[in-house]
Amino acid sequence: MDIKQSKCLLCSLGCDVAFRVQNEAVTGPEFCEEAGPHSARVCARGLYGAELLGHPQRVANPLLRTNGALRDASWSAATDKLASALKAVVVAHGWQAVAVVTEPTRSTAELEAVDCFARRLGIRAVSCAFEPQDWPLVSVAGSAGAGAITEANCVIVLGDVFYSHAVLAKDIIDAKYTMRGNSLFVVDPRRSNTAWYASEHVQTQPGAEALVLAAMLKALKASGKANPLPGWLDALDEQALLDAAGVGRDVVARMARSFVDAGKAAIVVAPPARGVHDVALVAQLAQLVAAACGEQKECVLLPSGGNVRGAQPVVSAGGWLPVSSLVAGIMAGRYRALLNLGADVLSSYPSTELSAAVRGMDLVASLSLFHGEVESLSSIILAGASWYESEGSATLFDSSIARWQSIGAPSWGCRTLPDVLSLIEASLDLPAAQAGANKSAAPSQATGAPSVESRVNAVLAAMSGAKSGELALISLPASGHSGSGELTGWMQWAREMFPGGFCEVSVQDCEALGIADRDAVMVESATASVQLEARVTDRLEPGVLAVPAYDANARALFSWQPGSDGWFATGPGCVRVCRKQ
Amino acid sequence: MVRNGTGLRSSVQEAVAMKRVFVNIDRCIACRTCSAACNYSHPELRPTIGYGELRQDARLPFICRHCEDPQCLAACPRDAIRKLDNGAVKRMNLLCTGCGSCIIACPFGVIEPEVKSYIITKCDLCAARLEEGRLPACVLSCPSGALSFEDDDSIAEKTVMIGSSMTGHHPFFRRV
Repeated sequence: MDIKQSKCLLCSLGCDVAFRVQNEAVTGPEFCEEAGPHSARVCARGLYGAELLGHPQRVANPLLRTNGALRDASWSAATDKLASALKAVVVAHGWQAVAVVTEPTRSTAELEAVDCFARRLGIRAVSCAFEPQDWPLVSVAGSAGAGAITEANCVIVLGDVFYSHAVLAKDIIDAKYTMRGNSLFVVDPRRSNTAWYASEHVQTQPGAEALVLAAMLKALKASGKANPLPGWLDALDEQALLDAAGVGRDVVARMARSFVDAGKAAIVVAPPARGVHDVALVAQLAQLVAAACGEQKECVLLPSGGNVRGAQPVVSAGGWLPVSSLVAGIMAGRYRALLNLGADVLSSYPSTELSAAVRGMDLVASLSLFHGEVESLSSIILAGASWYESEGSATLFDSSIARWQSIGAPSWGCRTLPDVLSLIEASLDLPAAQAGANKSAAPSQATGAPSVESRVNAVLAAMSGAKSGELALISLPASGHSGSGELTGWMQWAREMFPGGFCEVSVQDCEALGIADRDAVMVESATASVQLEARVTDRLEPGVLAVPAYDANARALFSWQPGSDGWFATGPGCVRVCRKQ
Repeated sequence: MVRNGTGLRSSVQEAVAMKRVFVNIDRCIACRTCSAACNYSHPELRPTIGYGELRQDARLPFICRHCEDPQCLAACPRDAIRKLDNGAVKRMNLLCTGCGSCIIACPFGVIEPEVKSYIITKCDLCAARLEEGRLPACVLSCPSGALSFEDDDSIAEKTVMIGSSMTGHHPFFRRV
């Protein structure tokens, strides 16, 4: 019996995980008692590796769809078929009609392999399926490490960290109770598990985090204790910010005072997939708060994806498209072939238009671990391997590099991503002249980007846009699921413990709408109408409805159109809810 | 190394004598990682740790207390539940017929009725791990530090502390 160590990439913390291996087979999870910044602590997701490696529903061999049915095929037959179908699309429409999408739960080397593959073939439409909040979060700047939380006398948390990054729970709880007078503020529209532990739960209106931080900056400026702050703050109306955010001036002042007076302090930003207006602005303001309060004040930014920070330079340097643009392009019929390298765009960004557009493509090929939504429309499915099955490295939330060794060779007939890309290239048998004909310039940072002040005003305007009878729709993380649940949704334990198909509604809204606990309700947005089970809760204020982020059906209630910055909007959606007759 | 009928080495028994999994409800964040750890560490049974919900404010893991006077043991018609020298209450898999008497008898409701074939699931304090000198899986994995493996004396000290470090007067109400 050997014990082999690896890293978990199901969130950006990159915790150490270990497996018991007997005769080349993983028999169960183990714990790295000595290793890593988080000791042996893992969350439920960290224990999934053993199941991921031997899951009975893994795609074990390449599959080809013939007359609607999937049949086993050899790797050479599958890649030859893929190459010939790809060539047919290219002859008819050119390489610009081919789209490639991968995902951030990949090692940096794998993402670079995708970039090289696309570059060599001249494929322009390459993208990485980030969760909506992740790109804006990492595109702003770097993050402090978890040590900033452990030593802090005051911690401000934006989001439900105990569920999105559960392993940090001990650090946050320890920070609160290490010394008398330490404080923990949680800014969240929902009384989340993290909010249970707060010295003070700042229950805002959904999407108002940027406004709370802007109001905090004004309070800091007024107190005279902070470093010089930018002049644009003066133009903001503090009362308007507080009214829109739904919080009192005294609460914000208390939070600002605790933060600036603390010997050491940390502000932690872990936004949900949807529910925070302008995540980039929130991250920027959080960093401004930390910088304004002097030495030993840190900002910790926590993206949800495993290797989002590692993907960011690859995406930027390679000129990859924002995934929202790629999705919009697919819906507009701009692409005739989709190579889905690990991602599942249909469950991450679900909409009937996208499903119809993918169904109408000439070629949909997928490299996957499981039979997800995209695979149900794919004519060629290649058996992919997880990060555990090859060595690699990833850049974690604090820009530290995590490296790991392979737990074992890919199971069954599965192959690693670089291996598969080489096979496809070999089958394509392109002339040497083809190489290097790619990409336009790297994607632009938006030119003439709006000022911080105008972005705060834009959030203010968005907050006042709700119509009567509509509820603000936010998403919930779960400690048992990662992102949209495209991997974790296949774990039996996660399905049982964190089932989807529900929505949380406040007691007051339920009374007004005649809804009882566990009633079937119809939730309607501009993009979808979904039947869910109502869970009456006092965690939410009236006017807010929450759905699990890992439930693809519920995610369809959000709009998956690109925002003004080209990326998916991160703010709350709008829905109407009624009891199902 | 001496082996006795229970399969535990006597030195290990001494080392873990009367130790229990202690749940500090002040620290539990209801993330259910202990349940996942239990499930994945016993692949032959795939047990789950049950939870009790106190309104919506706390979700307490129901972990076997390994009682001093176990009612499950008294109720078992097949003598399939035994108390080991180290205090752990263990189910003997080959004797258990899955009749469910222990489930009814347990005053804390910690024995899960979800059975694989006819075997009831029951916390064994991760006996195999203890034998290797390792802590129970739920304790090691707990992300918030709510679970610890302690002897009776230190548990007695801690139980009077529950809620004392909190801002509210009651360990549950503080979360409101």
